[in-house]
Amino acid sequence: MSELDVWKQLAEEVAQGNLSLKVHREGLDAAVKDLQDYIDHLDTLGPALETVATVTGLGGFQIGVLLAQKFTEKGSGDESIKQRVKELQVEARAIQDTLRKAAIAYAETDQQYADVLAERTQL
Amino acid sequence: MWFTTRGTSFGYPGKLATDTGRGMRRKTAQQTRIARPVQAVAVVLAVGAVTAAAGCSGGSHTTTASSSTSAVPASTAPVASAPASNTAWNPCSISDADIAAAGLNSATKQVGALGVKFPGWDICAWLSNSWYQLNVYSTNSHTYDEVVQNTTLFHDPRPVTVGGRAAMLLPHVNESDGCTIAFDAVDPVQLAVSAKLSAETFGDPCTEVTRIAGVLLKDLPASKK
Repeated sequence: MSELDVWKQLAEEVAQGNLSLKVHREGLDAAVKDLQDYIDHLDTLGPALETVATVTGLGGFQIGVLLAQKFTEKGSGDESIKQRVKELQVEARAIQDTLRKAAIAYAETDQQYADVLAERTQL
Repeated sequence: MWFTTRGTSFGYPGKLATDTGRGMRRKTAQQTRIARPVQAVAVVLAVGAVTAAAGCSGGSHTTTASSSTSAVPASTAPVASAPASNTAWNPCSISDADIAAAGLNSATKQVGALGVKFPGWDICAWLSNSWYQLNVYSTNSHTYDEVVQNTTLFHDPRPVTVGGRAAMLLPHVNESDGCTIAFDAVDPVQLAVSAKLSAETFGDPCTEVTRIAGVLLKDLPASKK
């Protein structure tokens, strides 16, 4: 199971009401901000990745053509460094989303408990 | 013909805040804790996100089969010993004010490819606060005609005029969110817009690069003709 799958699963648990997160507001904000900084930092790799997106110049022999294809695949193919960096950004977004939702779930549950306690106290 | 290989390590200096109070509370007996995945991600961040080793064409907008001449060995020369400019015009000479006027973030300026300079090329790049990034290339390894006729990288070239100056608009092959505009000069100049890695929505890259070229036109080297 990939990191992304783990976070999706946790998000699903939160959505079903099985999971919540007690967290100070400042802690949540700091975590979300650090994740955003991480996403932004990965963005700075973009221009350099463009320079290795397509590789040519290895000559017209079959071995050169194949090698160029291989390097291009590493630069911009389905399993390329570009895709891997994008995956890291998607994972970071999933973590942000799950943390937010789990914190909201806790706050809502906590408020419900508070309401019940208040009612019982009045009785 | 020229070819450069390089290996590059990237480190992420930041850290992930894992202080999330007292942790997760779960209604079921099963103890699934959010802390473990957070720690796993933190380790990823601490170690450094990516290590790359890739063949490089010295700029994605570089070569055609017809432009082959001789092989260049792998370049790992330190940036400090490299000349300030490899070509007649250095894209990094564009002022921060003009970069900002073009809608780009001047604080994101990148020289070369993560500091690596390629023989025969000068590259400078900036990120926008929107969906795109800009790479500016100047080369003395290829002629203007070689650039605009590079069907490996570009398709359907369209002649355009920007601020009264002739240029060629070159949509990227296999990259619908990328477009280059090329200007003829002593050493041909290319402005390439492509999507930032985190972009989820895209504009028209050819429209964007034409707009940017209009703003930066006064910074570009004079036309050869």
